[in-house]
Amino acid sequence: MNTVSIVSTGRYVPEFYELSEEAIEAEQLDPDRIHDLGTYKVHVDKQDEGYNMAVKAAQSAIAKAGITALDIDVLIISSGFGRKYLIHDDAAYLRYLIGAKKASAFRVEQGCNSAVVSLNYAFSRLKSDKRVHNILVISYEFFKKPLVNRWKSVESSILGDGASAAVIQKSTKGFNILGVYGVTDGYFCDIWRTDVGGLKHPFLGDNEADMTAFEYNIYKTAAEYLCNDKNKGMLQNVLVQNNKVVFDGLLEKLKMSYTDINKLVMYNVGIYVLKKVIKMVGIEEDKTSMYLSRQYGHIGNADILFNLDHMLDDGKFEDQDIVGLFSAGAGFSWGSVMLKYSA
Amino acid sequence: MSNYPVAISGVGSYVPDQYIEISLTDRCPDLPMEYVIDIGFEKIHFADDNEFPVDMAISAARKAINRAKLSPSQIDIIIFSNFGVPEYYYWANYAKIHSELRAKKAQAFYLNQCHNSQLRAIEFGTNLICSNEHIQHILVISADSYRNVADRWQSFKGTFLSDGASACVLSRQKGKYTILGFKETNPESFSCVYNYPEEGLITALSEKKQLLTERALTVEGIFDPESCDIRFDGFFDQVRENVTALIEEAGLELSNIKRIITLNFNEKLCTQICKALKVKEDVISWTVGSEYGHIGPADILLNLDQILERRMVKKGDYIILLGTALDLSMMSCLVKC
Repeated sequence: MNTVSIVSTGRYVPEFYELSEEAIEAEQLDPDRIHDLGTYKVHVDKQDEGYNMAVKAAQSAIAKAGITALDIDVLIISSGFGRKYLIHDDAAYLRYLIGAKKASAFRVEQGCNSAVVSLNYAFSRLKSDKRVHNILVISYEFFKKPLVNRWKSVESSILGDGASAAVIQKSTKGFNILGVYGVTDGYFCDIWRTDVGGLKHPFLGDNEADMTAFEYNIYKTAAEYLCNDKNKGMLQNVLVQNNKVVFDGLLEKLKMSYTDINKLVMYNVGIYVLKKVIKMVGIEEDKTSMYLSRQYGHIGNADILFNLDHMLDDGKFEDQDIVGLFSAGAGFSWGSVMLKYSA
Repeated sequence: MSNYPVAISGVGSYVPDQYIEISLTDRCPDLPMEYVIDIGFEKIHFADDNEFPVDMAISAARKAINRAKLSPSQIDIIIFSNFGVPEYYYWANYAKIHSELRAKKAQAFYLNQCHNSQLRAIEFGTNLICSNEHIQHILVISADSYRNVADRWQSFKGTFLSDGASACVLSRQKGKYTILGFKETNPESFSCVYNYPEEGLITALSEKKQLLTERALTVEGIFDPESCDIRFDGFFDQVRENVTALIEEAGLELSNIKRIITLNFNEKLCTQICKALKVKEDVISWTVGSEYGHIGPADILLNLDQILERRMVKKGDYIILLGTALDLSMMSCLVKC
């Protein structure tokens, strides 16, 4: 058998949530921006569950796959933003927490597109290595002040906390992975950067300037790198073009077209961004994950597996549906995955 | 044994010009001479004030691409990995490399499995080529620097930290340095020993200054800093089992292996690996690695690059690349020249 499938998914969000309407006053937000984004609530890790969110999502996916943690051969961890510490082997730590004692564990990063990179690893490894049977992919995010302000740090979304996971096997059950594709354009990589907190400017914490610089603030860096119309235009072109390039590239390799896509699972950025993607694909909004962006906000790289799991629970998929996954990451990178659902 | 249609088509490395000769012990802090001798490095290299991992990574990558007789525009995927100290707390360093190399059609991302990151990236790249007929060339790069954030003599017990980078191109082809297979071994986890306890989402703002401290980096319970010995009794058994399984799957014996390329941790550890495998000490890459110090995952391809440059292998020879992550997960890769 050479078919590789996402046989199960799992998700977790903390119980506590905050409403956008209430945050407008509390955080002194621009109401027009918040309304354009369309997200009315986000879940917040008030109880410092941290890594346990990832564990709960993983346990859900493992249980649904009908396996145990000991059956996992490889564990891939990703988070787009949220390092708990500057240096921490979180993959090995999660392996320990989950009890995947036989698994090798590592981490991948491509901003909020990291989960697509993880899926690509699972797909290629299972295709080419007959010794491997179960790969667990876990994505998690949590955002905390003062480093990240979930309402303000990113212009195009409101950030929520949570986690998602998937078990990938050589199987024809579930979501058969038809192909994975990715694109990177690093020209504007410096827009997404914290100036302090690494080799170049170690965080010393002993002056106000350091503390201010340590805060993750896209507006601050964007103001520097998008200071003229030429750069703004270039960035806009890069963003729009590569949304299409990453779909076109995969469809071409699979000898498919946009009309073949029955359902679309996207990352949960603002509604005005998602509508452009939906228009590009040419699919009805009710066949997409857009409603989940309103309910949960942007859980970073955890979005796409979270949404896939949620939509499955909501009965959104029909047998033999072709399901497109789309996300993008800071830096910038874009990713697409094409799935075929077997009920 | 998987016999992959993938070969290492080019290797490159970069170390800064500046170095310290370990024999000049007045340049080292107050460390017992016996400890310094056990570690066994001849020198360590260090980057200057304006040189950072991404800069070094680009230098190593360009060499690897040139030696593969390719242009950056032919690279399909770039995998950047390192030990883990980034230029900035948050930054898409892999995207910066992508941009600087002008690898226009490539996708780029970052991978981390601590010291095993580079071998994991080679395994990832090999599987990507095997499973996707559209992928021809993958660039694997690692680079690290410890300036500002570590005491390179004492932050990591049992070794001295050095700066540098290494890279290789994996290509869809047989010949040159063909990848024959991989073997992984995963013992019980030792993951909890490795936090850098400041600067992150949990303890973002602290009065404590940022420095990788002994508390942060000493792998207590695994490594005995006094004797330079691995405390984990099963470690060398694991090395033997892993390597033996790898070569048996290929129908080979240990006597067929010309070189074993490992991390540059310390001389005593390399000697113990030789004993465990019952191979001569000149088989292991310490012969060249002792000149560079411990960079991190970049050690592996740096040593391979040096071994190839010095013509220490010939056509038909077999090489094993052997890496270990911080949780003592182990990966080996068999290569035929």
